[in-house]
Amino acid sequence: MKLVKELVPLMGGPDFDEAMETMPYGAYLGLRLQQIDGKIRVVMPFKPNLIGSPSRLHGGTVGAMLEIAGAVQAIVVQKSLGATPERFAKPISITIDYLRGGEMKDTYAEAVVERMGRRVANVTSRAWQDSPDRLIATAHMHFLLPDM
Amino acid sequence: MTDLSDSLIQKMVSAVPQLRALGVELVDFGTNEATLALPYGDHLIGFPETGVIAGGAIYSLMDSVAGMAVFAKMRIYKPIATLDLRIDYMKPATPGETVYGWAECYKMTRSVAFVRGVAYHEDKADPIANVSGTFMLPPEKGAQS
Repeated sequence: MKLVKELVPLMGGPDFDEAMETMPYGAYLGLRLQQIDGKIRVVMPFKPNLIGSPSRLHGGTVGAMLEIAGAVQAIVVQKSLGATPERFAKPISITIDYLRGGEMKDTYAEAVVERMGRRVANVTSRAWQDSPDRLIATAHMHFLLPDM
Repeated sequence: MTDLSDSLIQKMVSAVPQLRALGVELVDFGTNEATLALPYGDHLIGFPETGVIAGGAIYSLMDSVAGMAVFAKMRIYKPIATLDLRIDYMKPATPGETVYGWAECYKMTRSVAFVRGVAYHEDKADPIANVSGTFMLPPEKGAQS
């Protein structure tokens, strides 16, 4: 188990590739965090207990991954603004659009903080499998930021 | 297409690998509504400092029960596809307590099903989260598309 404040200094390194140990539920989904082209990418390697309908990823696991990608990216942006976040922001709401069924493959997600306010962050995220040009789901969400 | 008996519904819930992994149980299945239970577990934690479970775990529960509500309304098993699902988180779930997810399919057209529901501990009027979503239904046989 790693604390968010221990994770933050590691982010930004070109070789950053960590199993998600900061959040037990993220670890349970088997998520990894990687640094790709200066952005944090969340990877959900396929495993059978992620399945919902036959031969399809459970929509909830994709939704959870999109939310976690957003929460991690909010930490990245807070760090870039000079803050030292010690925990994940609380989600206020999340809306997910499902574009294609998730296949029994690894899934990737990246998020963008569209606006970092003082109290609320507006975040979008997207998930894909074969190619970022073929999205399987998108999300937009709001997080309540911890007081700093 | 298969008619949905209670035992088939029970089988459907226990056959979904992700629901089995989360420990989700079927509580109730009505004519247009369903209730699932998500027992507390350390693997669901999103906020280690408090033990509060992750929003994503609630999201997964509500995505499942929303789909179940559509099956309840259809009375048959046909593959459905989630178009969108929105969750508002009203308050953190209490660590150690089971979270119930309830959803109803309040409108169904030939193509689209509309669902709403809540996550709660004991009282639906004091919700942990609110959900609303839409699902695409498969084309009817012989219908013009």
